[in-house]
Amino acid sequence: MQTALGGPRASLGLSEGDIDALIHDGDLEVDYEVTVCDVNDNPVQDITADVDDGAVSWTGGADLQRSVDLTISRDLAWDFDRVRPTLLLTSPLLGIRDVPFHLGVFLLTRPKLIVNDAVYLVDPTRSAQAAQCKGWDKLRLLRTPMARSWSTLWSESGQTSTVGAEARRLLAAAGWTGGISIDPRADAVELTEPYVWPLDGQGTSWLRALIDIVKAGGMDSPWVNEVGSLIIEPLRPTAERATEWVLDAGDALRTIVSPQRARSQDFSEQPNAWYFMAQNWPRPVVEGDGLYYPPKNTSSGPASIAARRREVWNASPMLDAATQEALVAQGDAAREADMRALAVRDISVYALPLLGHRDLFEVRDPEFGAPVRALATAWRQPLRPSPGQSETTITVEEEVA
Amino acid sequence: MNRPSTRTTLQGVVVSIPAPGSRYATIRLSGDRSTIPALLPSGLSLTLTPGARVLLDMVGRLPIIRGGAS
Repeated sequence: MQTALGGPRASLGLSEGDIDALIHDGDLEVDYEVTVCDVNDNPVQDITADVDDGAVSWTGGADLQRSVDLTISRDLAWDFDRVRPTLLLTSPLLGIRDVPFHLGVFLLTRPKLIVNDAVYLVDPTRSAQAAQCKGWDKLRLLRTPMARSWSTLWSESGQTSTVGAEARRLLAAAGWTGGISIDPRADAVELTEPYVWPLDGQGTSWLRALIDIVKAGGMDSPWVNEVGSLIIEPLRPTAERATEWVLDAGDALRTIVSPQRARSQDFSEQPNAWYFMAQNWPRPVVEGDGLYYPPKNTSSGPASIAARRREVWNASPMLDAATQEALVAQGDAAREADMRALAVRDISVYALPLLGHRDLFEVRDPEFGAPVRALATAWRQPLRPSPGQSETTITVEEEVA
Repeated sequence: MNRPSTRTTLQGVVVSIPAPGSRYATIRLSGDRSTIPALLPSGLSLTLTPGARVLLDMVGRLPIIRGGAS
């Protein structure tokens, strides 16, 4: 089953068939606009005319997952102004024009001023000065030292709290503005023991504490979506998800995959057996109570015990988990990530400016054997695609069946 | 994605002691304006009073009071 309508595609107002036609029928035109937003991520000023070029990147597993590179010829309040690049999708065949697809809300940092008189000589309407900027998603606002200690509420002080409530309390203290979406399941996980981040000179950030809290509840790391809202939701195994895209390198007529693609496979550091222990566990850990042994990889693939004829255990067993269920959820996710990281593919595609968070692919490529399901770990989307050139670059990790 | 367990020794001052038998005392760490909970080993709550300086060991995500500081 495939559904391309998940994540940021849901707001496009297009059907599954529309999106398929958009990608494959060859008449997609991509333009962009860039808007300055207020602290609540509402657009206040269009600065498209001053943005010459740019690209948005997403890296799964990083603390700050989205970033942007912009070439911009106007002054902004650097590291304060929020900037939202948006792709505008047009398809004469489908009869759609300038349908917006947002790519994230960013704080721009590191302006590097470049003077190029040749630009002005060629086109006097354009400024000879441009600043090359790097921007990071809004979690950057939380990646600042707390400069104080912080603790979750604890039951013996008469205050019981949940992972969701503690995340909201921390975000309020850190001054987060803009949307927050916390899965209701985070409000069901109670923290019975306090979690403490002391002022100890290590510069512990609000983001570090937030990640610790949500992971203690078995949730995925927090991330920021395409319109600047912070998302906290449970880890969802890819096995439970439908694929969102099919990339078929073997379909000569309809493929959008660039002729050059790569597959790398290095499993020398890959474990095939796992154990996970909860730190801060209130009792000595025993299996089933603060200690978890997921199933070993006995025979699946070249990293398995059967293939290497030995057990290779995971090197980082300690997890922050408030409950055995959270420990199992995080342990299973870590095991799944280890299993999946066996083979990595780098793929360029001609027209797929619709990617989101952890997109799931089915990759059909006769050169590399049977079709595989594969999870995106990174992508890069230029704002100004070159016609006929491959545009979006995607890195995916193959799933082991 | 996993981090090793941390073990750091800190200094602090007891702000309040809950009722005898309670597991947590409220501590203000040296140089810090906010307060945090710390785990009180059984028996120690009888000898600690507010204002007492204490040493704490960070074990995982929780400071544990190890004894009085000089």
